[in-house]
Amino acid sequence: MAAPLYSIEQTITYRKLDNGLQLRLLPIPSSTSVSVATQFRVGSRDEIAGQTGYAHLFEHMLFKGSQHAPGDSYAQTMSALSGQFNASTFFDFTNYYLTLPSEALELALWLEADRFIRPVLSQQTVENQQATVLEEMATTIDNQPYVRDAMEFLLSQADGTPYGHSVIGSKEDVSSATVKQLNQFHQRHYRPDGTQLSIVGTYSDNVNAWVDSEFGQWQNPQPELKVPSLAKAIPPAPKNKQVHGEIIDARGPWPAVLLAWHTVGQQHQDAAAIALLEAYLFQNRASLMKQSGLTDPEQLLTYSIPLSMDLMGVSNLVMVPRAKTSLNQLVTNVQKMIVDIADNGIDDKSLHQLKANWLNQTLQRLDRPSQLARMLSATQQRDTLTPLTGPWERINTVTTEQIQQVARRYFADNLVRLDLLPSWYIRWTKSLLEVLPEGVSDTLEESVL
Amino acid sequence: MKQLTRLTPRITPLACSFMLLLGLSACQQTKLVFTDTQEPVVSEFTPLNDAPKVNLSEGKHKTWTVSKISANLTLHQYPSSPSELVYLNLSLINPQRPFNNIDVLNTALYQRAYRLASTSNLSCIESLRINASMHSIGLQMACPSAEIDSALTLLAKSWQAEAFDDLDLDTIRRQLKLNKHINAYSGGEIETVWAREILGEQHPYNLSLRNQTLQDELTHKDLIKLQSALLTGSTWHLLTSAKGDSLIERTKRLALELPNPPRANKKETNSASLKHDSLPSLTQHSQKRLYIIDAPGAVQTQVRVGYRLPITTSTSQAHSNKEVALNESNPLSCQLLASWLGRSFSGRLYYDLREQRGLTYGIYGRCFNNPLARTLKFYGSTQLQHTGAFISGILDHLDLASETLIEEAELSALKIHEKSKYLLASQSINSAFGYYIKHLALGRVDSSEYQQDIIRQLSPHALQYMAQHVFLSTPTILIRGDMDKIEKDLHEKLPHWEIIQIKP
Repeated sequence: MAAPLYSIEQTITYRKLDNGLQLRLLPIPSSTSVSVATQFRVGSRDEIAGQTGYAHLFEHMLFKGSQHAPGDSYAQTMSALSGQFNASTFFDFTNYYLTLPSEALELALWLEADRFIRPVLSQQTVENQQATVLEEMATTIDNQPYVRDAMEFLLSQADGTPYGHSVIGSKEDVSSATVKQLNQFHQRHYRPDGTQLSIVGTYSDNVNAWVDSEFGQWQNPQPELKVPSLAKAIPPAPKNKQVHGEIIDARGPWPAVLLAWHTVGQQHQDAAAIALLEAYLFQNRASLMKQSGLTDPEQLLTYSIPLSMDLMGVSNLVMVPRAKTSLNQLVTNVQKMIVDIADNGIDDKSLHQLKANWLNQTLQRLDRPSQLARMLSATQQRDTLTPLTGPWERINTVTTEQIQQVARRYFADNLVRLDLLPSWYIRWTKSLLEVLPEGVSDTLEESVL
Repeated sequence: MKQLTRLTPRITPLACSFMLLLGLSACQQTKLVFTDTQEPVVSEFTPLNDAPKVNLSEGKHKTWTVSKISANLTLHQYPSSPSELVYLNLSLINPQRPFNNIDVLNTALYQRAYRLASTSNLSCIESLRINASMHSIGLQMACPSAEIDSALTLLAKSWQAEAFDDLDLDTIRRQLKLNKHINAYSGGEIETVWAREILGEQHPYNLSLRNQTLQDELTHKDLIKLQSALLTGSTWHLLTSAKGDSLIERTKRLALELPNPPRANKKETNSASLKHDSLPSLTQHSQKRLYIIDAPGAVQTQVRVGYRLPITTSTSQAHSNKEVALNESNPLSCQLLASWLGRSFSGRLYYDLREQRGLTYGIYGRCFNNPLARTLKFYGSTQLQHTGAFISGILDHLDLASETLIEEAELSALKIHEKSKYLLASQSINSAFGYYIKHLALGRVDSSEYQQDIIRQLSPHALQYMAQHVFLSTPTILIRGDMDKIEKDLHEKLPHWEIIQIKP
């Protein structure tokens, strides 16, 4: 089943330009379009105190003009030709991606190089994007109950690490950013030796010449790029570390509990086993958590998005209880699942299915050129020549014993718990429902719903 | 803003009580400073100097091979995928009438997918997706070729009466009810109210969903009845990227496993298809009414502005007549006006209200083109203090589009956008499947290539003609936000509009 990963990988042309920029070309001859993804090794991790949110704000600025494409002409041209272009900023990286008809590739590379190398910022465009980022903050964070407080609580758990503040930054820092500071941020962090460029689809034979012409003269700034090493990885919390906090938000419709486990960075030897364990516990439809929700569950819903950074990882789970169930009971249920794996492991058949599902998801990405280009541009250094099969081989060699070990090491004894609580009258009502006979509580729950 | 919205509910009631005891009359909330309105601004489309030139080809989509397998099942074959996974999409389609209670069936099928995830041995079981709309419901999987037969059997079994035997109905009922609350919590309820306001409560699309009694008392028998009722007047379609000679035989076997849609007699055929002229008539509002869902504590206002557009027989059939008017009943009007004003980044609304004025994270336009309704909707969110200016800004652009001719450079960008959008519709296998099913469910001849011809020749006057036919009528406006905080601003910025509170 994994054969297409190997055969497609064979068709990738990899090359490193003299300035360190890494280029991957993957042809899809039957396509009439091409996807381009450029990932820079810069994210909120690189921000200094007083400049939180700069990586993300700067990402916005790269849509607002460059030397040869002034003003809004980049957005106008791409919006006309593509309609499928965007960018995202994370803790460790910022990526820019687009899909467009193959005939427009040369223009796209010309435009991408111009904005990455020669952006032009003005007071007006910075002010405009500061306002836009504050709107983004309101949409994604402040307009939802619990979200900001929960985010800040989780970030406080990473205090003292490069991951101790949010990607979007603080309102104060974003609002006070200046053109000069943002230009300095660009000069320091946007550099060819921290760039991976991937082109997937149908493209001209001239593509290498175009890349050389547009990106080849780009010089790296001083000082040299700092590449994080595994030695600098943030160690998981000490054993038996239990943190329990609570927040109250009167807009919250119902209580919920957020659980988090401090795991490991992407390059760590345990990362693959942890990814499979997260799928087994929370992520897959067949996961223990999802299956426990099928018949007379104790939770109304659950939600989990593991965070995987270069130097650390965080598994997380949000659970919303039924009327009859306390938050404590939900936490106990999860801990029982974990203890069971830590004590008894999982069987071979389950592990086989976990791997098959991982592979199926990865194979599906091969059929989504835009995602595939982004995946290639996010290649870890150790997978430079094996961007598709390297990750698979690590997953494929995970054993049931390793699953058991990572359950013990990272999940069994350490837990960060945050109770998300609504207004007092909902909390009191909920407490009452928990002590009523189960049938009565269920009936009341049904009528309230 | 954050302090006001987050802490007020906790602290203010206690603090107010204390101060009232001391003889003070009220607590002062932090006062919002509302944003001023501004004249609409249109982007200048300046050509790039020295940029590489682009000549887009008259590209065509990859070809589907269509084979009629039986009276009720058609096979649609698409070229194979790079991953060598075989994509299988079994869809039931009925362009004539909406599926009743598809929301219930969708939830039940997802519960079944969760059940299957732990019982099936297929390596691709977690790839099962359910795509439900008013006129189509499809189950899709992406599997290795060795698992095609088992996957097809699994898809077919989802349509057998026993499909729901193992499901816990309490959980399904609870899930359905929970969805309603999640919508209220997340702001998604605005879409339900929007459908009610823009189409009318008696429109078949509204009558077909949210059957509260059924959802409260759902039984296994109900589910089987629902499933069976969907079959009337519908046809089966298997879309696949599988290749090889055995595919036709496999699909024939699938046909035998699928329940046959009942053969409709003439009377049933008439009742099974809803004619456009039997739909609730279009009610163009002459009065300016702005409907508001009160959401105390919301820090943003969600805004929807739009039009319901007529569907006439002439434009819903094949385009034999090239003289079709580009008025409000032409689907191209809806599509082009949505793109012109509402496309990301350089649509007029996004450019002005986000890129120039920073009033929103995003404002978009979309044409919802369905067999029994076509609507044009502009949608976005804004912080409380911008609410009046934001809505006023949208309305100003609708007026401007009707009053002033578009510049050639902007029109050219719009034409390229439409052409690229067409070319990119099949850029991945999922987008190709989605695009194709959308056309099957529309039940109309795929006129995309014909439409590309029209767009190529479009003049500024023709676009203005479209805008005038749509935008000169009064739009429907619905917003969801904290009424106490924004009502005054709305009255000031939109003095001719009646503000009406509406329950979700």
